[in-house]
Amino acid sequence: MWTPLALAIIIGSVGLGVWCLASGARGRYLNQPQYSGLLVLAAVVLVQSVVAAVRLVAGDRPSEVATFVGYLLTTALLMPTGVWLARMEPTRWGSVIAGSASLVVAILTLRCLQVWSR
Amino acid sequence: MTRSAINTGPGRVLLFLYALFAVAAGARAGVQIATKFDEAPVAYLLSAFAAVVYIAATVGFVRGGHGGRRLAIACLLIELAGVLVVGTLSLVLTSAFPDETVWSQYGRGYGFVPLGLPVLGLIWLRATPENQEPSEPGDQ
Repeated sequence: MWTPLALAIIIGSVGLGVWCLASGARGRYLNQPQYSGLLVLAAVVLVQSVVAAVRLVAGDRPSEVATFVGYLLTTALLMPTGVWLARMEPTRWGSVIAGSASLVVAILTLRCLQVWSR
Repeated sequence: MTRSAINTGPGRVLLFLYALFAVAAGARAGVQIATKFDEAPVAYLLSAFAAVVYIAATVGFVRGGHGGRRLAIACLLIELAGVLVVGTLSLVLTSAFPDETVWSQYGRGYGFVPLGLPVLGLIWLRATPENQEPSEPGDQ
């Protein structure tokens, strides 16, 4: 894990998640800036996962490696799955899916950081 | 993917959340059983059972149709019973649950989502009339 990037992911994904959920609450599907934001978030999460994977291979490991890898894989797969499902549902509920995925990324990244520093 | 009533709209949100919990509970149970099974076998077997229920519920939502609906309803009822029974037991018999499961303390470790999800899911499945779904060949 690279802590500054993880903190950026947490802040960004909470903001994006609340924004998408607000659109869902108002009955709207995602707009273009939100959609772009989701793709950027997915890409940045992927970068973070690669950074963490490289550090794991290089021998820089948390005490609970298996738990960490579980969280890392779940986090990396979450955004692509969420965006894919949101695209299949071009209604307010697509916004709810994207917003939920984004908020869960924040929670999982926080858990990754906690496990990493143990 | 089947485009029937239970997995569109709010149903697609449920599908996403169930898939997420299937992965989360499955990964957790896998790690617990592989690395420290002897510490709390009952809790870890319950985690594994919860993961199986979430996976089956996800399959039900993805499949849709008559069979998918029945599978989803069965899983959500088991899940609701599980979270209520395990949640209560984890508070009353703390010694029997030395480590957390998804359903411990009514799913508090997961923001009580494991308690709310089956309730919302069952409301949704009741609200979607079964007869409006296009019946698929061989899906009886």
